[in-house]
Amino acid sequence: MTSYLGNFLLWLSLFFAISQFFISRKSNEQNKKFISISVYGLLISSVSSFFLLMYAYVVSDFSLVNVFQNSHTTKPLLYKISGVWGNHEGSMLLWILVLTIFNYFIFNLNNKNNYFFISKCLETQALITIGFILFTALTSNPFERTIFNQQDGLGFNPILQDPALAIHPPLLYVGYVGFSAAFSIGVAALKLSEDKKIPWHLYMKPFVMAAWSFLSIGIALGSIWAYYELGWGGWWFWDPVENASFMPWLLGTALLHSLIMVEKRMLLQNWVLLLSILAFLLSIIGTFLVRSGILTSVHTFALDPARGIYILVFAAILGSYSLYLFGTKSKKFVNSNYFAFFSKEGSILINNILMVVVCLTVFLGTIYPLLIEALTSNKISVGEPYYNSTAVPIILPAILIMGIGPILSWKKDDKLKTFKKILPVVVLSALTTIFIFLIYKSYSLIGIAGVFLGLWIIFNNIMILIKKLKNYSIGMVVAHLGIGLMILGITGSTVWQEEKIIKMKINDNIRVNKFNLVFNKISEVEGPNYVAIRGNFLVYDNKKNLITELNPENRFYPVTNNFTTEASIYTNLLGDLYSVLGEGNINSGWVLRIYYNPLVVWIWIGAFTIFLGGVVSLRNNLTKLKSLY
Amino acid sequence: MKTKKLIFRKIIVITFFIFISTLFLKNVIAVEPDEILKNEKQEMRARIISKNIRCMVCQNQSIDDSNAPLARDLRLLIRDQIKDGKKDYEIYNFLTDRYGDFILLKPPLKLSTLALWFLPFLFFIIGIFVVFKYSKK
Repeated sequence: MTSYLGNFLLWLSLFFAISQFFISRKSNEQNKKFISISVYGLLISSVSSFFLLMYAYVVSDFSLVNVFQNSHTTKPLLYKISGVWGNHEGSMLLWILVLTIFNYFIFNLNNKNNYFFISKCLETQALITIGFILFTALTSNPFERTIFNQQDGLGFNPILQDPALAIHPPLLYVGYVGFSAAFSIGVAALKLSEDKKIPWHLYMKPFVMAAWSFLSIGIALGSIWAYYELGWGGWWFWDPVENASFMPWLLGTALLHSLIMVEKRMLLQNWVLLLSILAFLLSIIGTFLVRSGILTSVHTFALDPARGIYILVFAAILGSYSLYLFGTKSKKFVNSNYFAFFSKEGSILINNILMVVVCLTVFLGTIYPLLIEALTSNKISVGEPYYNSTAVPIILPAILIMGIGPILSWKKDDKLKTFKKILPVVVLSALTTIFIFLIYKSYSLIGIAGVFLGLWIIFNNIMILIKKLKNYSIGMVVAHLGIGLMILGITGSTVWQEEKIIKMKINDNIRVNKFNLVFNKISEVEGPNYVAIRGNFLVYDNKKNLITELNPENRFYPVTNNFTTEASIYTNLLGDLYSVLGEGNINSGWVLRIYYNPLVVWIWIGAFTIFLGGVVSLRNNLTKLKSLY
Repeated sequence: MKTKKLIFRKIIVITFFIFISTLFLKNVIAVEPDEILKNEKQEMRARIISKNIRCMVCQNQSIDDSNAPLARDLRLLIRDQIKDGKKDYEIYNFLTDRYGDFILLKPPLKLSTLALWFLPFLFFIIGIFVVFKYSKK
């Protein structure tokens, strides 16, 4: 029953998407009613199909293959719900849901003057939606029916049962899919290139801002999950799956900043249009990389190629269509406004270029192993060391420029005046850096560079706030402050991480940084769908005061027959004490791995600050947009 | 009929994975205390090398992070070779002779990886060039 209803809703949404496509192609005032029916129909049918699947998960309706394979009656309610998008088929349904919501937002922008333009946007958005609904219905149908009556589901990977990961995909998808709206608007602007009066950049900016903010927080939550759940003590691994979300983020960052340039000076419009196309294409290619299985090996892709080939062909169609349009129409957007190197737009352009270069480098590192494997008999790995020596050095000058860019004025700035303005900040950052290093007496070149750059960004933005420099945007200051805090966190946790691996018996103690850990007891505990061995460690500071207790666990999930390690982490503003319990027994002791990760929490604080800044800017963008109506 | 076959296949695959996981998934963490060398300098070298060596049976994990038995074997092998007085490059060579370049997380500079290492640099130069060309206007 659920299966029939779900399939019906899926095909119904396809019907509405197709009708939206054809009606918006021939847009005139009489059609407006039909477009509106299609948009609402699409929204309602995709929302219902999504909630139908969610309902099936909540009531454990094992007549659906998808629920049977990915859920279990003993799973906590939160993870039953997040199980909807914790698997491929369900996550595609979520993708469609977000697409149609953005479709609705675009539709809502229409008024008497821009109706023609908006219907052009809706045409492209409908095309994208059709592509994804067909993909879901044909290759990844979440409403497939089971033949036999199933008593209980097969559960799903316990390592994915984590609150951060539960909300990570929806946020990430708002990011990816938000770029679809920017893509549609960009394509529409190119199509109507004759009409100079359309303020397409004002329509595009809120979508880019929303996409970028949610992508930022989505990536951060993925990192938080990796940090808390994987138990390796790290939070970013340059994994291809991470790269797939990082690449659109980099282009999104470039797009966001160059949109400001269009808004203030009508410069580089064609560049912005190109970025809006590429950002979404990269989102699709990222999905292809993650979903096709090609990342593990070119050969695993060959085992089940339908999905991968579909996405690839779809991306190729969208790509060639939009890039052809760009190639033929973009010349109309060239303008010859005065452009100087030493100005706000100069700094934005340089950082734009640097972001794109980093993005290309990450792209190269991600696909190069696949190329080598496909073209030669060899296989290579491209891991963290590669990115550390290529991408990271390009990011450093970008951060340096990021500190001074907001202070520069538009058109042309005076070099001497600027130097006087930033001198106090340079001195303050340098002195603070020296001060910090005199206290901690741990010298490292990367450490010094990182701390200086972090402080450089923070002090510059504080100066903007104090001096109330001309028409700064508060959202920008907040987001940039977030980046500064994040740099401090990243530097601290990578340069000064301490690690101890030892075997401990009850009552043994170990010193890590300024903490003293005492192994108090070990016990068996029973969770809702797992059993665990839990170590209990008392943590004392230098003055022998009890600060906290760490309870790292080893869990066993009988349903999926999985073992997981559950790290126990004591967090404070200076650093995290991170403990992982290993194997052992009463006689010989238990293995314990302890990290001291300085400043890690500032990475998360920074990320949330960035998100906050994005949301504040989004509000400003929307206010500006409303003034058009 | 087709879906029936499909489900059957999926069930087989899943049972197979459960079976495999019981064989391999013992609950251990990466580097274990009994592996650690007494000589701190040697241990440091071992850790740095292991961070650059890929765990062959994992996805994008170094043997230093991995808890797979094969990764442990390699960690022990590296430590044995260090104790035998081998130089770092000799150990890397030993490993690539056996497992190929795939085992290195930082790909070596070769004809086939020329583009990988030099393109980012080239992109950077082109980028700078574009900025200068554009700002002359």
